[in-house]
Order: sequence, then C-alpha cells, then structure tokens
Amino acid sequence: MTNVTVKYLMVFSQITQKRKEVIPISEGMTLQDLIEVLYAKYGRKFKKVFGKDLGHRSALITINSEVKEISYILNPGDEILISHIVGGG
Amino acid sequence: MTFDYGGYAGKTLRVDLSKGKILKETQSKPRVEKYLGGRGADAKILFDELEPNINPLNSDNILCISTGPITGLLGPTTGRINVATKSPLTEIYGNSNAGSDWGSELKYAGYDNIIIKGKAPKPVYLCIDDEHVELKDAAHLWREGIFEATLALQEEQRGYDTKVAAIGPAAENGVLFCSIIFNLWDSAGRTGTGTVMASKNLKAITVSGSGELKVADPDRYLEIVRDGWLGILNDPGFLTGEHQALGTPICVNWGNAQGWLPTRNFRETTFEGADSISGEEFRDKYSTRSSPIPGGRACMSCPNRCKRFGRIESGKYAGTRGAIEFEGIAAFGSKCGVSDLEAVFHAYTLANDYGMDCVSCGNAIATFMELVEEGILEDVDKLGLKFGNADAMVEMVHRIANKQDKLGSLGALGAYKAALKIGKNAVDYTTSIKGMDTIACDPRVAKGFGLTYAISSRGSDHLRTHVVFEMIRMPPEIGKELFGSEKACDLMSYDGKVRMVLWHENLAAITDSIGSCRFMHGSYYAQYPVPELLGKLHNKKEVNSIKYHDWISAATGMKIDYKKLLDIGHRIVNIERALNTRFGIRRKDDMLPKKFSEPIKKGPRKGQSFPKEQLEKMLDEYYTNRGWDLKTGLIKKSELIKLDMKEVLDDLDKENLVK
Amino acid sequence: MGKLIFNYERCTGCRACELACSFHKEGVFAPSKSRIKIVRIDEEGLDIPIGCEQCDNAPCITACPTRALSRNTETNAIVLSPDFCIGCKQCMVVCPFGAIHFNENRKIFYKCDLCDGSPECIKWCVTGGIEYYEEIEEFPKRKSADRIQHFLLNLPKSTRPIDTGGGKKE
Repeated sequence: MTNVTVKYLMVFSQITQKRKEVIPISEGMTLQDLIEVLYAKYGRKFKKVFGKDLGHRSALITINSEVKEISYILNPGDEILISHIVGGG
Repeated sequence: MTFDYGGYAGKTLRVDLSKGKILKETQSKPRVEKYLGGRGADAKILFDELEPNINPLNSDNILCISTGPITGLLGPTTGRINVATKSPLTEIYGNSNAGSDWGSELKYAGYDNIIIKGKAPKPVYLCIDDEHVELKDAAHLWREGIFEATLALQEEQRGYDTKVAAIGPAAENGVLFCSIIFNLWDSAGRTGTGTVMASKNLKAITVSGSGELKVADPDRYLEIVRDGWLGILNDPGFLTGEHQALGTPICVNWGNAQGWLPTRNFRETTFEGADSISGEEFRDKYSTRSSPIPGGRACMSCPNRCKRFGRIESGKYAGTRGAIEFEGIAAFGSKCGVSDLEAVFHAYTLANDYGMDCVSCGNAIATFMELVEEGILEDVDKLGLKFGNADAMVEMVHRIANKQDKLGSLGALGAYKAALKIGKNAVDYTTSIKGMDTIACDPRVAKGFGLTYAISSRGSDHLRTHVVFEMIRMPPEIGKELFGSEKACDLMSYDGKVRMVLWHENLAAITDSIGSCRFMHGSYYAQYPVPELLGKLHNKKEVNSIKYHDWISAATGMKIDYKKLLDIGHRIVNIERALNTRFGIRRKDDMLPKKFSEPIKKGPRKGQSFPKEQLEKMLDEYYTNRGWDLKTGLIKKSELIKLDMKEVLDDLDKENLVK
Repeated sequence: MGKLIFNYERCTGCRACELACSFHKEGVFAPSKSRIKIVRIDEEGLDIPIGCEQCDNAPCITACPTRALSRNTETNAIVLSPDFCIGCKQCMVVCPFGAIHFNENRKIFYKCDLCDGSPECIKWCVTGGIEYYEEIEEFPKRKSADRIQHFLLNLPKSTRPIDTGGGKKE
C-alpha cells in the first residue's frame, strides 16, 4: 500500500477538522478518484464548498506546488493541497 | 449644497501648528476635477506647496490627510483615508493608505482633507468636532502607547463616537518608519508618515461629525451603489467566503503553496513553518469569535471584513490581543524564520502599540539576522540574532522602538539606511527600492509584482497596482481581452505584464483617490469590465459590477466615462512622477535590488529569478506607455500637455525637469 | 407584530445600515440622522447595533406627556408624530436601549418606524447583524440557544486586562 499526503487549507480544514492527513492510494488512481474518496468521507458540506468544476471558480488543487489536470495519475508520496483561490495583501 | 460637486464635504482644513492657526477653506474645484481627491489631490498639494529640498523632519514639511469624493457614501469599501508627505524613510514622495471609519467621520464633520504645516511648540492634539476645531494640549499623552492614547482621547471626547488617529512612542523617538494609527487597528503604515506627524509635535487627531453628505443624483447613485454591492457579493473569490473567515492571514499558507512567501529575508520562497503561523492556526487557536467567524470587523460600508481579532490566553505572551494582518505575520514570521505564532502575534501588537510599521520593522530585523549570519554585522548587543530566534526578534522590536543600544538605533533607520551605515556590501542583503523595503511577495515568482515594485512611486510596494490577477488564475481569455496576452494571467510569465501593470496602476490611483479599497479591483475584480467579461465567458445573463466612472459621476455630478477614468488615473501617476523627479528620482531608481536578479536557491521555485535585462525591456515598454523619456525617466512635455497639466509643465520646465 | 433583531455577534461594524437608514429617510448620508446606531468598541473588536426594540410595554409611550408616540397596529412600530412632539427628551431618557436619537442641528428626534414593514437597513446588512421578523414567533428557538451558548463561551475572555505590553515605561 502506498500513500499520498493531503493538506487542507482555509475552510476545508474546518470541515475536515484537520490540516493534513495521509490517504492510501491504489495503483493508477487519478486525482478525480481521490476527490471522490474525499467526497464520500466528508460529505455534503465538503462537496458544497468544493464547487463543481475544477476551474478558476472553485477549489484550487495543487500537487507538489503545481496545478494538475483532473485526470492526473497520483504517485506515491505526492503532496496534494486543497485550497480556495483568494487574493489579499 | 455648499460645494458645486456632490459627494464632497466641501471644505479643506488648513492647520499651521507653529502659529496655532486653523483655516477653513472652500475645496479647490480645479483640483478635484483633475485629481478627484485622496492620493491624487494630496500629490498635487505637495507638488504645489512643498519645498523639495527640505529635511522631511523639518517643520516645513507638509502632512496631507485626505478622503475621497465617495468616502462615507454607502458604496462598498468606502472607508479609506490617504496620508501623504515627504517621507523620512525614503526622502522622496511618501504616502500611505488606511481603512477604518475615521475618514467618513471627517467628512461628516464637514472636511474633505487636512493640510498640516509647521511645528507646535509643545505636544498638542487636533480636536475636530463639526465646526469646532481646536488644538488641545497633549502633554499628558506624550510617551503613551497607541492603545492608551486612543482610549484616553475617546474618554475625553465623545466616547466611542470619537474616532482617533494617533502616533505612538516610537514615532516620538524618531524611528523613521512609524505609522499613524486610526482607531487602534488601521494604520497608514508605510513610508514613515507617523514620524512626520511626531516631528510636528502632533500626537493625535480626533474627529467626530454629525453633519450630512449629499450626492448629485440620489436615485441613480443608489442604483449604482446597489449594483456595486451585488458585484462584490457575487464575485467568485468573495463567494468562497475565505477572506471573510480568515482575513488577510489567509495568504500565509496560500503564498507558501504558490511559492512566493519570502522566507529568511528573501533567501527562500517557501517556509517550512508556514502552517504554524498561518491564518488557519490563528483561527483555531486565538480567534476571539466563534468559528467560522461570522462577522470579523469591517471598515466603513465594507462587506469584506478582513480584520481578524485574537487573544493569547496562556503562556509567555498571555494577554496579547488585537487584530492581525498578513504583512505583519510574514514580516515577523517567515522573513525572520520564526515559526512561533505567539511570538509573531506579540511582536505585531507591540509594533502596533509603539506605532511602527510592521513591514519595515520586520524587514529590518530580518536583514540584521542575515547580516549577522553572514558575518557582516556583529551582534554587539548579544541578542543571539539569527533566523528562527523568536526571543531575539521580540526583543529587537522593543529596542528599535526605543532606539536602545547600537542595534536598536541602527534598526530605527530602516533596513536600507542601516545597511548604508554598516557599509561593506550590506546593501546587497536588503530588498529596498527607492529606500523602502519590499513587502511579503517574492517578485522572482510573481513577475507582475516585480515590475510594480520597480516603478512604484513610493518605493518598493505592491499596492500601487496589486496585480493579483496573476495569482488567482483568471481565465486566459480575460488576459487576452484586457492585456493582449493569454499568458498574462500566468504567475511566472512576462507576457502582457506591462499592460496589466498599467491598467492596474491607473485603477489603483483611482481607488486611492476616491476613497475606495484596493481589494475591489485587485483581489476581487468586481470592477468593470472584469465581471462583464467573466459573465460573457460563462454565459451569465445578469452581471453586477462596480462601475467607478458611473459611481463618481452620480455622486459628484462630474461627467466621467470609463476612458476618462483611466486618463485620470494616468494623470495621478504622472503628478506623482513629477513630484518624484523633483526629489531626484530617475530611471536608475526604477530598479530591482540585486537579490532579485539572483536565482532562488531552494524549494519548488528553484532557479527562478527576475533578470535585469528583462526588467529593462519591460521598463522601456512601460515608459513608452506612460509618456516618459526612456533614458532619463523624466516626463515628456507632450504627455503633460496631452493630460491637461499645463501648470505642472510650466513649473517643471522652469526647473528643467521635463524632456 | 414586526420586530428587528440585533445580533451583535454577527455585526461587523460596517455602518452600512446607518447610512442606508439616513439616506432612505432623509435623503442624505449622515449617521447622526440614522435610527440605528452601531457602537464600535474598538479595543474589544466588538460592534453592537442599537435600535428600537418596539417594546410591548414601552416606557417611551408611557413617558411621553403629549402622546406624540403611538403604536402603529399594522407594523407594530412605535411611531413619533413630530407635530405633537415638544422636545422634552423624556423618551430619550427612559429608553433602556438608547434607541431614540436627537440631532442638535435640526432639533428633531429620530425614531425607528420599521419603514412601514419593509426596513431599509436589513437590505444592506450582508452578515445578518440585523434581521427583521414579521411575526416574532418565527424567531427560531435554536438561534436563541446559540446566542446564549456564544455568550457563555466568551464569558471568561472579557475579563482579561487590556494591556498589550507595549509602550513600556521606565
């Protein structure tokens, strides 16, 4: 079994009640699959703040500090960061 | 209506502290027609009245405090106040902008702006209570911290209805980067405006107003304002609710994820301890309101409420309390390599109470830490100055504020002037541009920010444009439409960035001049035409947006359209440049420090730099668009004529400062 | 049976309600002419909206010697008739909430009349700091419970000293 680390920022950390966790992945699992796992785990509220499309209008997911397509195949040890797109200063 | 244009209160308050004289003038009509108010009007006042070669702490220096035509008129985010002077930190044009409801209250009292000259023979404060304006003795408040002074003044006056702008003991000690703090938590922080105020023996300005403001076209005005509110409430960034929940500290983790969080005095751009000094940590451990914080604290008429309040309950720093912002966290935290949020929070409230600019103070400490580690500066006071030492960082805040011992007095000069005094190659370790230190965003990663730092009129500063466009991943179609390049919205691309900076800079000049907040056209983009373009892209039928041109027109009665609005922005940038040319600013000063042309050594953004050649190329394009001479950086005569700035041209021509 | 509910824990102190009120009623932007007042307690970071609670057993009505204050049976609002008002300020004195305002400039009292059942202030409140209930029975019990819980949770914190430790004196 191999793992990835998922980090939650902002409101996601409130819903999940944690800042990061380690999630086991199987061979060939895509980012989309991982998101489905998280939907199942954290339920309605999580899904709601996540938004529908993975574009500029909802959650921002970076994998090892880079934005990846939804079809990206996860590698063991990847660091996945889930946040919203905001500005400030 | 006493004044021809609506929205304005209609009067200017002139205070001569040397003679103790207070004059109420009618607002200058040509000035507001050309420069609106706020930052633009302040720059014009300084251009007309300030003797350029004086020492900024001389009594001849002028301190301008201005509101804009839409301050306090129910529009979204209309609580901004602008402060301008000749900066003691940079010795060029200095200005700073603050929130709260102080500005609106000034307008309800009947004044658009205050022009302060001279120096009081003994400490005084200026008390404004509608038409009763007087200078009162402030001997009992001198040496008091911001907290104590503000609360004492509120008690003396009308309690919570009195709004107070005060300076702290650090300013009285002559620390060069002190701020004026409005209502305890909002500070006009940068460029040392507070130091100038202290040099005039003016401890505070209290305001309370019971008057009224009228707009030129009430029905239309209400419609436009409602449209603006809906524009911001429907903005995708606003809808996430993140900014309202965490405030600006949200940028700590976010900047770290994007790889532009300055760490250990800009050596690196990711901080391993970012999570422990983040907004999330602050929310979970110290927030004084239940989470998600349904209501943070807002400035006048602002739905964004970006101020976050917290309190440390136990431990070494128990009792520390107050509001916190991202820039302060980054300055005392990641820049100093400190990952202890309690120490950072404590340093932050200390700096506030002393009345110092957190950014400059944190940068000075971080620079010293690096200089000590590099062996250029000796830790003569035996503080254990090195990255990550939280105790030394907190101790340095005290020492800088009190100018205590050698390092304290050095730090009080700000990073750049201190480095010059230290000598050797110490300056190479600072990140100062035109004498002001860089805020918490590394320009080697965010290229638009890089160009902004170089050209900004008050020295290294992001708020002159705030090109957050490149950070929030706007669709490429919008970049193409507005700035002629699909890559303009990419963080690390150079394409289209000059046009992007120009557009943002023009609008930033407008928002600062009318008294609105930068977040409305940077961060949120609720400003025309961005929501319209987004709406077209997503096939939305009804789109709301903030239309500044309509807004100003309906409030004041001037006729301004979108194109004219951008022209006014262009004019304001030019008057600031004109002022700066008098202070000796030329092309050579629009630069990036050596540190940013060297590649980043570690982390996911390893290898990124902002090469000098690239900057020169961008500057050429920028200068051409601004109508400035490519070689010297002086403004061209033709441009000033085009902008209807004949009187400025005549003045500059006499001094031989135009091309 | 209309009533405005003021939720201090949700108020951000943006004062949009003050401006909306004065603009709607007087056509100018002037917090001093608003029926609602936000008290901004800066040192605590708290903002408290204050307005008329339209009390059932209203002290202001009892105290008014000229019967200038009366209840509008349709909206439940206590309304002030300027024609009868002699400016004795008794209502101001007896109001336990400080919800009746007096402007020195125009010698006129300001008193919330619920804008005939459609209050302007709530239209501008984005956080729910002020809410309007046409039937007070609608006011959810759960919300009351939340308010009490919030109060209890925050109780010990407000007894802390103010001192930030800055401005050290010799």
